[in-house]
Amino acid sequence: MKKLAILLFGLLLKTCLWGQKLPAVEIKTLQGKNVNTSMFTNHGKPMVISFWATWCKPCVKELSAINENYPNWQKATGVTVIAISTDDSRSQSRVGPFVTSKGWTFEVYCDPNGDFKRAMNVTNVPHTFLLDGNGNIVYQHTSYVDGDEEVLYQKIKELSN
Amino acid sequence: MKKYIYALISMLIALSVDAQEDPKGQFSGNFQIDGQTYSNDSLTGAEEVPEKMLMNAYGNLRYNYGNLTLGIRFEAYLNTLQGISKKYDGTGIPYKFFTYKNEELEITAGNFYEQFGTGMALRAYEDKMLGIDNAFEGVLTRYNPIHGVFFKGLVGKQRNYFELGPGIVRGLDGEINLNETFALDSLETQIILGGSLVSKFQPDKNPTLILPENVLLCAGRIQLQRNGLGLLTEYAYKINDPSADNRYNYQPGQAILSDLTFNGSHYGFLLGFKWLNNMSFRSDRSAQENQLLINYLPSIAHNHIYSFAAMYPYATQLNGEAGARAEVFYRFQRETFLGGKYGTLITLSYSRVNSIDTTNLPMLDSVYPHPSHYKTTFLSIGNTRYYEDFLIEIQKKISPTINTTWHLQYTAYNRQVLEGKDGMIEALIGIADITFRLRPRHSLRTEFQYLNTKQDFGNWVGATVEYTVSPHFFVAVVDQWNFGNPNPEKQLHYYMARAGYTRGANRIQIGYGRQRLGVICIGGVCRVVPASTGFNFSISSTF
Amino acid sequence: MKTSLFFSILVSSILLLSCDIIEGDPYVRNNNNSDPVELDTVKRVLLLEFTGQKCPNCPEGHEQIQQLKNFYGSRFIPVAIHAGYYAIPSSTYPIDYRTTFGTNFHNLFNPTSYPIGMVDALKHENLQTHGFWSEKVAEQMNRTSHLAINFESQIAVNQLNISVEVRSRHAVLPEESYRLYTLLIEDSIVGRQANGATSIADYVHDHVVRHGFTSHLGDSISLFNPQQRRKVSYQTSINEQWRIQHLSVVAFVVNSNDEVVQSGTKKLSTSN
Repeated sequence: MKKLAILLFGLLLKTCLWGQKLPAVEIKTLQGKNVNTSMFTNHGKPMVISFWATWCKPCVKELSAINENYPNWQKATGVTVIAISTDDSRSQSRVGPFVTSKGWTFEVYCDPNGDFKRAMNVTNVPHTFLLDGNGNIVYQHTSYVDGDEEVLYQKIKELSN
Repeated sequence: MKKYIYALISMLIALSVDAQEDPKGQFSGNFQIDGQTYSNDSLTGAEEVPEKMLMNAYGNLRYNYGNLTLGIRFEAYLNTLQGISKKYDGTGIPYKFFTYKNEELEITAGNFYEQFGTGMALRAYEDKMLGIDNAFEGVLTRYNPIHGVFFKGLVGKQRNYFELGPGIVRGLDGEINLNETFALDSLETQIILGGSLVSKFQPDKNPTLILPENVLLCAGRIQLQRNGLGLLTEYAYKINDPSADNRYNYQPGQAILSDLTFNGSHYGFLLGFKWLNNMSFRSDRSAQENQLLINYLPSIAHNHIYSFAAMYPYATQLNGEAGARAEVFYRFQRETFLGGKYGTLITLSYSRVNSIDTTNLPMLDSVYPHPSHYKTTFLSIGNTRYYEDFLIEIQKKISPTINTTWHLQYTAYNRQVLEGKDGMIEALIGIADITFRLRPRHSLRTEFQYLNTKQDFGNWVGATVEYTVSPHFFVAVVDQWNFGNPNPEKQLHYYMARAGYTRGANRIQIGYGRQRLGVICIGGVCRVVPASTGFNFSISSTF
Repeated sequence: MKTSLFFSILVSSILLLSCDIIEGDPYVRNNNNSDPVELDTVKRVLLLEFTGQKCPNCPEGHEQIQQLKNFYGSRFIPVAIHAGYYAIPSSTYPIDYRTTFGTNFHNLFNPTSYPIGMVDALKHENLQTHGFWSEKVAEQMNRTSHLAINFESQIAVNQLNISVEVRSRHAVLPEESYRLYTLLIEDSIVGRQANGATSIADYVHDHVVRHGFTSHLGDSISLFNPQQRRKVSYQTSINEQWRIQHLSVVAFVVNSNDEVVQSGTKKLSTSN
């Protein structure tokens, strides 16, 4: 039993090191259209997926900080940012006008019952993932403090070199 | 049992060995451990617990190979943290499932979460911080036969702590996106229609009443979108469903929820209303609190971020309420008079909830009283104010290194109706939140909060100082002083010190202090924390 | 497309059919609630309810009790224990229904929400909210008991003498240990009661515990005599607030598993 467990753990680590792919889960656009997350691709360029909520102050700070730098990041690395709102039906309708007024220019999707969040093993928001051009998760970060976006950009640059 | 475990392990090994050639096969998961010590605090009334320390922990493990996903969650409440029901005490594997998914069909056997429409008909979800988990155990299928058409069907029983509730729930949901299905590319308006049927079965073991053993709820919804304008409306109707929640009322229930949204170039608004009567829907008619709810009726009140703003939070009244909300978001562009150098964002929000208008009907007879026999008309509004809030929030960047948020709020909370005591509470709240970027990756956040009320515990003042070093460290000190408490001995300081370390998706946080009940967002994470005094720690990891 | 449409219509119609609409009077009428007189070991079911005049949801619990009382008649014995947070008197609710027995008994179980009650049990895990009572009472009604409880009462000037006799149908083994609880309850006390967001000024409080002849831990009655009888006598002075015509004595016997094996009640004045 013990040996099996050790073996299993070893294999688990090994498979984890392969770099995970995005799971295929149905989420919604701000207009209510169903979209499957397996469609997310940035044609060989890196992609950032960030889980947030309108009621989560650090999440909003993080995305605002990313938004300020987004045009420069895109120019330099071709990165795409996708924000996944975990607001449930209480605040889901707020997401559209909220995003508009913030002037965020990246794509925003809604995961109102946490299906995608669960599939990505997110426990708390904000939680940000960085995927390489082949769709493998190469870096992830939970929580946000000012300046974290610069660390994320370092990682993005490492990928595009 | 052991045989099955071996079989499962060897299967996983076989699959993962395979996975080394096929990178599709992968494990993933997470852990979260929250612990707290509780000590006596004669001033706040916080009490030591016999265990000295309480802990909630869980770990998820998922395995994905091609079209197949397996998952389990182990949970341990040794014993349950205060603020979450003690009925969780113990350990177990309440969540286990496997899913097969191809292009058009998805089948899950085991435990699953699901939501139909806005959740008014059915929503199984989890919120570990609040102790909510009403996952189904049964079978779920999702079917996408043609572009834009989606069916979902499920049969199951719901989780009740580490057991299952007595009722069987059957549900069916269909949704069609007319533009996609009929390739209406020229149509500027996007139309999505949906409908749900949910039926529950629970045997009637009540000696005194003839109870409906099968209860049906049906709901219909429409979502329209044209340019920036969007409308989402859902209506639900439930046949007689006498329960402990509605005092064994045999009248049908109904509910409607509607949100109109507009997105301009730099502004947007939201107008919504909600009306409901007799809409509690549980898979055990005797259940109370958060347990075994089949549907979800979201609160229409603003979801506040700051702790004083959320001091008096509103919860939906399942037996009847009429509510409305309006919210306007406006960004003054850069280099305008009000926008200044960096732009200014203003949010105005108003929400109000009243009772519904009801007339009591005469009792059937004196021997068999039927006190909750009342009549109401659809969309009627009663005279009792349950909740009201108005707020204005201004976010302004003053310089490249200074970011500010200013928040003013009025809240009225009818504690008499919502908690059965103390009448109406009215509060005025003012908040200033200022962040200074001291040098790259080093920042200092200060937060000042003030709450003024003549009721409850009177006035409060609070301050937070938080120093963060990206990407790993934060340290914070919080003090909330209830200086206006009518009882001079209770004019206490609720202080708390916290520090945390984050590395990638691993995070550890420790703290010490006194805590009021409330949503606390600090060091980058938001959670609901109950009142207590002691040390606390939190460890989380995603892999 | 066609088959899926057909399939979904089929499933929806099945779901639509599976609903029971109850028309008219929803009550089960019971014409057989008279007590059989020849057997005094008929099982009587006890509900110990924790309540309070300031408890907004407690009238919902009282409705449940009234329905069970209507249905089971004297086979159902409810006892209202006014104790805990909601029972503390205030200027709006000046009457104090609390008793030493009630408070001590309440603190043994320490319930956190009200109304809450225990059906035929004295265990923390048997504390149930009001929605669960009727099912549990119905379940307990099917049980049998080997005990009979009889009362004798005597009122002298301002002194109340009670004797409770417990008889067993079969021989009671020495290792069987029982505890007897004897309480005085009063019906029809009019006073203010919170009810949801409002309150009712002239609410009728029934089966309110007024006095515990035994302590909150009961009296051990393991020593049955050779005729399988055990008789215990109690006395107390009559409080001037009590109205004799509304007083009843309630007794119940608890086994070592904290299950109530039998209970009984008797009105003090038999004139009405």
